[in-house]
Amino acid sequence: MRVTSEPLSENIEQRKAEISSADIVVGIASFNNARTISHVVNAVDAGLGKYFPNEKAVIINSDGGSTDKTPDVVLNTKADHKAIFLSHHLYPVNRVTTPYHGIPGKGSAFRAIFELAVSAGAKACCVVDADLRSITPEWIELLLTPVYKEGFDFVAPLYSRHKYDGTITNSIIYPATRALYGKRIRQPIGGEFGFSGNMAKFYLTQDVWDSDIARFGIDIWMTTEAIAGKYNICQSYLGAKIHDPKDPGSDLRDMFVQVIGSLFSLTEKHYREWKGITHSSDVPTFGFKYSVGVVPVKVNIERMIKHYLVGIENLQDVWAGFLDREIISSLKKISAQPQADFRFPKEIWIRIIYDYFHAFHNKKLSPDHLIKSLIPLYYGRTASFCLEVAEKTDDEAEEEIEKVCVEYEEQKNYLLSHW
Amino acid sequence: MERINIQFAEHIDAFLDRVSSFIPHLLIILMVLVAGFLIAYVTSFIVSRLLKTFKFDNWSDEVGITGTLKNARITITPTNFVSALLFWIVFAIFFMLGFASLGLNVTNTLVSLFFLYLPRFISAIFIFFFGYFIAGFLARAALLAGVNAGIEYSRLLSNAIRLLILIFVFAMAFEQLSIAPKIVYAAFSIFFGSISLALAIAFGLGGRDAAKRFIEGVKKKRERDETEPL
Repeated sequence: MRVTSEPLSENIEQRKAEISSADIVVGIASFNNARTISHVVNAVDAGLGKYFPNEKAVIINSDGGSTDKTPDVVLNTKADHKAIFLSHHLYPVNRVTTPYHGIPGKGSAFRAIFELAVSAGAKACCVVDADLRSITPEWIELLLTPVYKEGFDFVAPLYSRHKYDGTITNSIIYPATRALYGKRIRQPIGGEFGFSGNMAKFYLTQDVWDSDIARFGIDIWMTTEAIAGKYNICQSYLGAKIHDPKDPGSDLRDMFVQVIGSLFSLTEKHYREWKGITHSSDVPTFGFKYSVGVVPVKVNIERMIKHYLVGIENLQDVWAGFLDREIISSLKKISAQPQADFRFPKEIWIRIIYDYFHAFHNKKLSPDHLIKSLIPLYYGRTASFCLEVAEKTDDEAEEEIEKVCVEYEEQKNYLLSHW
Repeated sequence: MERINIQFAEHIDAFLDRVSSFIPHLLIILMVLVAGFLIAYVTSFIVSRLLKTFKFDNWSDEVGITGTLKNARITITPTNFVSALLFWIVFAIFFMLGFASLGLNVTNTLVSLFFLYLPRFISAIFIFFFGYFIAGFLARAALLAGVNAGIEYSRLLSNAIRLLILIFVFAMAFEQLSIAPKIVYAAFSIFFGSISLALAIAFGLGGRDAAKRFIEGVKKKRERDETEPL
């Protein structure tokens, strides 16, 4: 662990001087979000005014060089909360916007927020996405109160999501994190997090800002480091997350490679922390769980199966370097099924994921090639899951995900015995 | 008869003289060979240890060298392969040094040629191995990019890329070894020239309609600009 020695940008130094001190910092990472960020700023402003009227708070917009004047929208959004406030806020909520430097991506944006939060001596911080449509003032309370008033160090979000939404989370990230580290954090890469000033300081001292973590890997990294570092963690139920939903069959390749690459490298790093964990347990959950309508996500199952079949046709030689013959033969059998009956059993999928962990550990291929060779299999498993739950409700789909998690935990011995 | 005996004795003496003068050379050759064997063994042992310390086998797995060796039916690990190669190169150098100790014109010429050729040989080995590695890496990158773009004949594309790079690598290695450089150069030029020509023709034929539409569009726009002043 070392403090990064890279000089801060002049702009961030200026912002540090502007924010002499703050109790609470709310960060919004943005890139061309002029259309939606005004609503986010309004909700954050209202949340701070309503639930933290006596605290000094700052909203920091860390922008990746938007060309649609997102920072101007942040600074000029007029917050009018007369309808929801009974009392006036003691301090005006400052807003600052700063461009971040380094590798373009959410991680670099968060780094700038951590720097400003630590410099201001903030006790509680949270970060929210700039493209949120469903954020309410209550989100700010739910992300900050566990830290500010209950002494937690890290708050993960918990959402109601459509059964087809968040397929990378449902098929790999959540069950693998749960099986490895024993904590049932349902949305490890949710995008919204609350954390203490100490946690921000810890994040800032890690030497990861030139890796995939500076891009999409930041979410899984923050969550895993909080769990592995034995910080006090919890999750807060925020309701439905409505942003621009993504079809799992659409082009998510870069995100997939960065998130899975970060998961693999964190598993490598934290072997000592996860090797002895044999079962999982719930973490404290804040917020009132209620039924909420979610925006349906459209999926193109045919396209996903086609990607899988192209993989089967072309990648068997690559897979043969680290997957057993029986597994490859099972994959071929799966490819022979008609589309309507296409099923990729979870047992095979989880065994493959653990074989990929081994392949990453034993450096069987370059990390980039290794993870890219998993993409067709991910499409196959996702298509199968979508077909399995097609006639089921979101809650029933959640039960299927629970079964997947249990299978991950049961097969963990295989991961350990071949490590 | 006496004369025959004298001549025979002279020949025997001459032969024994030559044998006695050759024996020290032979002993020197044997000593150099034994020393060469020991030095080659120690060198390859040290290199093997160093490679194991730096996890060369893992790196070889990662970059595809292990797979390349397996494809070539070489079953030993990359570390052992490099160590063995080094052993034989060092041993061959000592063998030639021992050979040079004879001091004959023929052997001196051969040894000079060997040492003049040795750097080229080592460069050719490096070119071959790195070229093979780069070909494998780029072919796999192309394969994965093709598969993830949904291209059904990705493996064919990947193999074509591997083949093109290997031809380039072989041409470079042969050029380095000075084996028929003119023929290699000519064959290489003809091969790549043919491919470029084939691609140009294919692209031209395939894109003829598109090119026609584009040119017509430009022509119409120019005519419109000329007839419709701002």
